[in-house]
Amino acid sequence: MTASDTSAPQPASKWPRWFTRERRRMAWRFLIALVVLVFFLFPVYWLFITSIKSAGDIFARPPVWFPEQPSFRIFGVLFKDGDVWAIYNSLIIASVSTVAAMILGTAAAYSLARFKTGGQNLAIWIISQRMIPPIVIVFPIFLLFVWFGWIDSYVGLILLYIAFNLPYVIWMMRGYIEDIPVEVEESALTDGCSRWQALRKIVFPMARTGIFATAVFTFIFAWNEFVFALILTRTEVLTFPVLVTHYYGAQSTFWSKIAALSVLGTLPVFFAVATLQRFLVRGITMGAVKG
Amino acid sequence: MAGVRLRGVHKRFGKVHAVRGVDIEIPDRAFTVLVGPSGCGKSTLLRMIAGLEEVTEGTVEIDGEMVNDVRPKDRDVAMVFQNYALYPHMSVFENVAFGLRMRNAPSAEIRPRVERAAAMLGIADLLDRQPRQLSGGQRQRVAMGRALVRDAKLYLFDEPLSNLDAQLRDEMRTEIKRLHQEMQRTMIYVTHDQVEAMTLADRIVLLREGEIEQEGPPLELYEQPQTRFVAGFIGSPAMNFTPARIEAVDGALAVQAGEHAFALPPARAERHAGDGGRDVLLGIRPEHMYRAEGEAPRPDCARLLTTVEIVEPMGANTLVNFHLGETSMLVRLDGSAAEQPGDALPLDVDMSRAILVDPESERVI
Repeated sequence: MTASDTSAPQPASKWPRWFTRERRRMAWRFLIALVVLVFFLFPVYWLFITSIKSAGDIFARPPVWFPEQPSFRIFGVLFKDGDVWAIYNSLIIASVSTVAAMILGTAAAYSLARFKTGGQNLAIWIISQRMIPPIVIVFPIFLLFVWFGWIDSYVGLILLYIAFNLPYVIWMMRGYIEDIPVEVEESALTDGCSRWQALRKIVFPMARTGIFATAVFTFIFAWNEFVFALILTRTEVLTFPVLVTHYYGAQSTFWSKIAALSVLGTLPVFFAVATLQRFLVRGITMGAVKG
Repeated sequence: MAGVRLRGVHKRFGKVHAVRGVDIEIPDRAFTVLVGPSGCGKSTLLRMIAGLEEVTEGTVEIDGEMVNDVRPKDRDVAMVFQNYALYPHMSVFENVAFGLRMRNAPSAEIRPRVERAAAMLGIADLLDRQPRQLSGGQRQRVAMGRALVRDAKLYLFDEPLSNLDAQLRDEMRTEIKRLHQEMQRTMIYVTHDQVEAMTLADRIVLLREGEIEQEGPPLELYEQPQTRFVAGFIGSPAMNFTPARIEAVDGALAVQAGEHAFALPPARAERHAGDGGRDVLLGIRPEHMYRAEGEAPRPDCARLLTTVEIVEPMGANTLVNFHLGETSMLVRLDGSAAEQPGDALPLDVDMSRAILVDPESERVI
């Protein structure tokens, strides 16, 4: 029941009676939500629609909002020509580097948080590594990789992405681990856990939200990374962002290929986030300690 | 079941010398309370016994075995933490069962043991809940259950009641005492609350700035404190102290505080025969002064005329504030006193129970 629902006579309003204050407020909210939604989803829609348009429709004026004869032909071409291999490459590189960075980074973060390894400054120094613009170090790394024979290889990009993501993982996980009351861990130790068991049974489950959130962002970084991948690959392990740029030509640009590959390249990230988001619930540490 | 022995134990955190050479012998099945003001090193001491803190110097023995380098999991101790430290991602049942599972108790045994511990603590109907669904008092009981379900050599309590409200604290204190009587296990209990220490302990270890100030049975600390600190810390309300001087008056020894002379009973006078003219602090507990009746003071007592300043009725007894010279003093009178501020209040001060402290060394003489 709201005040406007009462049958008492009300001053004349410009709104019809059924359109109560409560409903008007709801209507406004829906309207704002709709505008925001359109703003963010329109590029995605346009990307998808471009991928199924005919070449003529892509530049048509007025724009074609939905093609009369949608065609998924170009997706077939990407599969037939083997261009989708770039997505496979990206998947391997992003997944392996994410898992490795998470394992190493979480271990380091635990040490920083619990044993105060390196004091306060080590953590700051580590995160400062992430602030270096990639372009500054990409050429020295290129020379190094040539020497190691890592150019155009999985191992090269994977190692690089691990190194590049580690500061972020360490920084984030350190915060999440510090949020876990140390007494809970100590309680596990006196209850009969070794350090490792306490980590596995107590710390990791309690830090689960943080672990998944950090992993998602690490994965997305590796998935989207362009500068290193462009310089350090040639033909064998092209990643998806690099291959997209190959369709920009001096003479012609294959817009439908760009759109189609981009659609395919969005899907893994979309599914990764969609599956993991149920783990991203907050408040898991509630009830551990007083307060 | 086991005794604990600490020998010359030191703990340094960087430059902070938290524990400074502590020797304690804790007998099997005893209930020992480590008590002292915050920062006295009592929790650190307990954590060193648990193995959560390394010993900088000295040895810790459990059951006659040196455990300095033994991991917490292998010391077979159970511990209750001040902030409960429950596992938030496990049900109450799993919280209590965790220690048993980690020590590979047969699974057929786990349920009955958890249920028995839960019944003892009155949390049997909470076993399916999550910690976040419990009140503070219930969480505290779960934390206790988690320790008591184990068949440990040693049970450690780190200020387990300090986060509870007063009524719950009193209840749990009785509960802990009952559990100790039933279980007959060695328990070490840390608190800053002298009431908890007095009521629970077989033996109190009073710590101050990382050193043992005095140890012994609770009543010994209450009756025969060795220092001013112990005398002031044990007992509630705290002991009154006033500067005084031992003087010979009319051939007998008395303690002169301001304008008042407190005659010493013959037994004490004998002990202080050589102390004439010595400056002291006179310590009198609020409960060792009584409303004067009749002309002559009670045996061993000295009569003191005071003026009531503040009256705090507590039901069973009444606290009355007055001044002795410059010093504000507190007396606990029986019953609900009819005294009003400004009233004259003659008191009999029990000089056989008063203490005299050397103001330099702060030791009781």
